[in-house]
Amino acid sequence: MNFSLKIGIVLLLFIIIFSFIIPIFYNVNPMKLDLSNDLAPPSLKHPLGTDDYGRDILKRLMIGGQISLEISFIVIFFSSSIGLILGIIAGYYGGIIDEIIMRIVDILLSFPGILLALTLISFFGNSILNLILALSLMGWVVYARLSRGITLKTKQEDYILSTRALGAGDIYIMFKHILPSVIPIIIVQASLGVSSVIIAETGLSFLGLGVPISYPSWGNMINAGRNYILINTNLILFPSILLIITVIGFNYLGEGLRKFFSGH
Amino acid sequence: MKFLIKRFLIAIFSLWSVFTIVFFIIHLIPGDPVELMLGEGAQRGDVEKMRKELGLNKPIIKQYSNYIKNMINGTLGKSIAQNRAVSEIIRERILSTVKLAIGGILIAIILSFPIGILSSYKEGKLTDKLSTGISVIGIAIPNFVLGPILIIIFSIKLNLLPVAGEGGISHLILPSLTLGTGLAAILTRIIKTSLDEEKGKEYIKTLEMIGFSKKRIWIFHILKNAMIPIITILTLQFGALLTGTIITETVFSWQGIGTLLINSIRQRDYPLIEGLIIFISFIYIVSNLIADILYVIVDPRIRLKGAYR
Repeated sequence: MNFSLKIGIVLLLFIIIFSFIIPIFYNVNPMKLDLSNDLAPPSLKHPLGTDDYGRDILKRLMIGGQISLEISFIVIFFSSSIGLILGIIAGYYGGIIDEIIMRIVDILLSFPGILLALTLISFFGNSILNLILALSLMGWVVYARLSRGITLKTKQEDYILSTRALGAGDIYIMFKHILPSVIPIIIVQASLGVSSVIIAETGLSFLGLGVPISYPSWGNMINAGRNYILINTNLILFPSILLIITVIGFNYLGEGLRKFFSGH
Repeated sequence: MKFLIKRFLIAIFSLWSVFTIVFFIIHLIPGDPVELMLGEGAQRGDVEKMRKELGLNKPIIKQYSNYIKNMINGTLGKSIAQNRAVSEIIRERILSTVKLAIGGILIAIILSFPIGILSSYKEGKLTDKLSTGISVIGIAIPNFVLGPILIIIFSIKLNLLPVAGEGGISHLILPSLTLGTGLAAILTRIIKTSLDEEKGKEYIKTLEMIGFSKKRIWIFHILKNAMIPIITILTLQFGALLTGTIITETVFSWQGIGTLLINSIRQRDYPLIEGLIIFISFIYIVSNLIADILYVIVDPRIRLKGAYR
């Protein structure tokens, strides 16, 4: 196990324990309003203080972590599986199928950055489902390009040509021989991709176009904290620190996995 | 030449697809966009009037051709809330965004060139740490986190710079830093890689053997030759910088194209949203086209590699 992988695992374990395990024991209602006690500094009752509605910041950070991680994992799962399937199909069959799939990829890449997701959400309204759909639609192209490239290379290998000569069908070859060579690379890309999905999700939430305001998410918390930046900087700093730890954690994990797989 | 024509056609195709996708998204919205815009309690007459004004009562083919016409003649449609051409509103706001973008690019250049050059010129622990540091800050800290943190440090704790808003140079520093650091991270890496590649080439060894000083070789040969790919990549990043301005402008309450887009989304001013998205994508696609053309002019080998797809 290499150094990057270790750092990545340690940082992400911290985030997972913080978001999923500690809330089981830390029994505070993250939605409970207490307007007489808003923007309070850290105290025994509220270890990280309260937000502009007097809600407990610590618990909201934990729930926010759950929401961000869950959304990112669903998005990564959708986009990598769609990209994987379409990429292998495009690379394996070639011709008109390849042309159509790759043109769709080109079209989606004509939108800069988060603009495509922003467009979809601005027209269809922001809900968690729309957020997941928009981010997945934006994300699958990278995986499609990667798996297509690997498929193109793999299908030329001698052992595939000979399996085909022995009478193996397309589906069999794709599952049994091409998929195994694509998967490690997709896993590495997916673990590196998590941080960009988290950044896109929190960024859209920050703009008020991501996770609906009724949920505590890190992006929403940073956005709300901006109005009180002169009074209480904790509102912005705490979610920011957690977000940075998460992003760095996934970057190290991806880097570590890349080294791990290329070492084998 | 063949490559350039192909590249140009791809750009036109991309523009057309962005136009069409945005058009279809607006016509696919569940519910009536006009009712969404006017709110639940709208009078029936008002709804009908606005549908007519927006041309939504015409057949879809006619709407599409009107829409494409607006895009090509450059008016980009008409805002509902402000009742005037989108292009006119963009013209009022664009200067702020351009200022911010130039500020961001300058910051990126100021940060990345010394660090990138130094880390290739003098390989070692310290320069390595510097370039890793800037990539961590640039890549792992998104603009909506970096911006507020910079405000907290420089405006609130140190009381050196204004918190938000527009004005003189002092107002421009923090937004430019926020926008530019991400680009600086990418640029630092590219500068280091292209310098490393350039300094490993055969002719450099020859120059060394002839006895030219290291400084002289670096300034007149390595830097000069490596600069070309660096500049093209800088052009390529320009489009990405534009979407970065959406968030940075929001953080600093900057009255540019980015906040205009966010406000129009809040007001459900669909024609304005549509026009702005088209405008931003247009700039992005055109700057990518320019970068690609620059690249080919500078390095003809690309054509042989068929770099596109």
